Amino acid sequence: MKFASVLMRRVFAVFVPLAILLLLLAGLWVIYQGEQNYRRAQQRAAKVQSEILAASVTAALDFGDRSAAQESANALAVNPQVRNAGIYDAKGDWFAGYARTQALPRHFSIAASSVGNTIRTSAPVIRSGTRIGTVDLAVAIDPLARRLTRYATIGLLVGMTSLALAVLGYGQSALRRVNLTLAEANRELEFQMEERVRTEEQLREAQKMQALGQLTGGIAHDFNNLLAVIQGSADILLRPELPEDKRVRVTNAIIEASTRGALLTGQLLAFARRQPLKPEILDINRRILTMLEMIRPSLGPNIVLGTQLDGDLWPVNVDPGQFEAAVLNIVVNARDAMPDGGQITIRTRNVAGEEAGQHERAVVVSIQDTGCGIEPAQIRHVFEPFFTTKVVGKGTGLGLSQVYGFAAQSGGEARIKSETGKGTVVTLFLPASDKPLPARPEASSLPLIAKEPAGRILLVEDNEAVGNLAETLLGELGHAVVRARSGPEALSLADRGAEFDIVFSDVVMPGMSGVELADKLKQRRPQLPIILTTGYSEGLITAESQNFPVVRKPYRMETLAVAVDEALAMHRGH
Amino acid sequence: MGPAVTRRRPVIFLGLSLVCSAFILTTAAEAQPTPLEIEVKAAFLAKFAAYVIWPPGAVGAADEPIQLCIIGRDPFGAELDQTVARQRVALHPFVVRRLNGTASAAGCHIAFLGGSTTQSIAAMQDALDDKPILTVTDASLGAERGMVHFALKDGRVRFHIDDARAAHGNLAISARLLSLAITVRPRTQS
Repeated sequence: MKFASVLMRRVFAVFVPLAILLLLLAGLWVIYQGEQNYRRAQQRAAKVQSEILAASVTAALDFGDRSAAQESANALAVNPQVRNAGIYDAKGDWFAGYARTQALPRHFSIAASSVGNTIRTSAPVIRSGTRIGTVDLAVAIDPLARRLTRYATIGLLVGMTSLALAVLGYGQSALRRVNLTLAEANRELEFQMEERVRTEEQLREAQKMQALGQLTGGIAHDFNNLLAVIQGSADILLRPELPEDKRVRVTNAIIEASTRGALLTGQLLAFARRQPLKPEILDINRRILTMLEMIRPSLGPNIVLGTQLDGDLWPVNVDPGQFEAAVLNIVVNARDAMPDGGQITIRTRNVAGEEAGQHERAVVVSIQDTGCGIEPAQIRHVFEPFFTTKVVGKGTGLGLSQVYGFAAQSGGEARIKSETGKGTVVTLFLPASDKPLPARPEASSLPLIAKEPAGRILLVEDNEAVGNLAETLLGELGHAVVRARSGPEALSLADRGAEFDIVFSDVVMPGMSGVELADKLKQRRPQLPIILTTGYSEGLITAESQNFPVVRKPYRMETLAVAVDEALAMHRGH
Repeated sequence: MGPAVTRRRPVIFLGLSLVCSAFILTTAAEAQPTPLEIEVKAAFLAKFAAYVIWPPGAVGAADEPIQLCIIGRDPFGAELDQTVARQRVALHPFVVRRLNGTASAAGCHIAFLGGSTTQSIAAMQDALDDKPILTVTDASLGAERGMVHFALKDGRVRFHIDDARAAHGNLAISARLLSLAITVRPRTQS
């Protein structure tokens, strides 16, 4: 296509001048031919006239009758084109004649020929086959100017066509130049665009690396803190003769640290957008009150945590885990903003109408601190992922972005107001739900002993530590446990007729996944209850889509107990 | 040009191919003809052949001669033979025959009637009247006219033509020749 157009342009560039040249040549040829034809016709006419004269003066010349010859010559004078008519005898001497312009030569000369606008012809005077003289005739043809006017039409036509072609050719070449310029500009633009894309790519890469650095630093720091608590507490637990109250306190510290670790991984997964929201109809106040017990110990002695909760708060439809994570994130930020202590106040209230924003009714949760506040220049960025004012290793920069993402995903919004030196207020607007709160389940004390009679459980877990923990927990609950380290191992146990009532399997395992294993076991024993467990959101989605009950990692003892009891009850046909 | 045009031109000039120079002739018309005048007439005699059409059969094949007969007095002499020897009409050469009378004129194509003591010009003319022979007479020899009759006009040798008589002899004389005649007696309409 491009080649063809280039070829066309080349052809055109050669064609136009060539066509004009050919046209001019053709015009000239036509004119030349016309001129030649005209001259030939005139020549013939002159020749005929000279022959007529020759015939008419034969006798006069033969018999020397000069006056008769002169009369014949004069007869030609009526034709204004005839300039000269001379009659010469056999020896070429002048005999008679007629001259309009200049005198005739006294002697006939054959050398004289047609010149310019005069055609000269001669004819022999013949009597019975004998030449007795010569007639010499000079005939004027139209002057060149008048002849040329006859060709004016052709000239005009050729001229006009040439002009048209020339204009066309010029237009084409101008277009070609413009096209070249345009193509050049286009190339430049494309180059710049590519350059820009490359630069942006590099920038993104750099930002990603920076973010990753902050994230990993923050996670490492947080986990180290939690691990330190767990490790230290475990060391204390190992000491003999530990008083009961201290043992409980230390154990609680381990549980709290693990809970925070779980929150942290939950945030990571939420950030990676792999954790789907599981909204429930919630009583926000109740959730907050429950959380306070967990939050308070981590705040330290210098920080006072207070609440002002609206007693008739509307229910909301949000993911409880994400809500708790959001509150925790805000509180942790508040704590970090008050290293020398201060006041944190959590407030809830109903709003309606304009204040509620895009929803008619909303529940507002605001958390206020009396900390150092945020610089005005930074406040716009606090909801951005990985933005942090904390030094490296002190925070992930994910906290407030989780708050923002949670609020937005829940159909509400998050706002922040801060005054340097006076403190910060983070406000969550959550749309109120029309649905009533579900009936509150009776608060059960920790079911340390399973309600159902003990069952036989096939535990499939590739991670040894997690497997040991699960075996311990299940054993504590009174169940008998058969261990398998992989899907195939579990299958072979089943095939060998191992006795068990339910299967508790990890989802993400090398070789055969827990979901595949569950499918195969179902083929063998359709009535066998199977519980899956995973920390991966993808595995979670797959498992849930297959309608298997799922226990999310990390799990607490009571969660496990409930899941196993339900499975056993189902198995036993309750 | 009509056949009855009368020539009255004052110009006198001899431009014949066989005449080398020009002479102004005296106006002594009835005096003895000058040698030049005779020479011109001799030349004319042969030239007439080119302007006359004989009836079919009168003239032989291409190379057969045209017979030029001098009947009676001969004013030309050897001059005529020399002049005629160089001339041809078409491919026909000329032969000069000198006769005493019209009795032996058979085969003649052109006859100059000089008259003789035994036969007048008029008698000769009468004898050849219905023959296809172009008869030529000369004013200097008598007033009797043949088909062509030489006469001097303005000192130059001219001629009268009796086309009616030519028609009688079944001859056709070219209009070109007729146009040069001093007078022409036209042939009667028939």
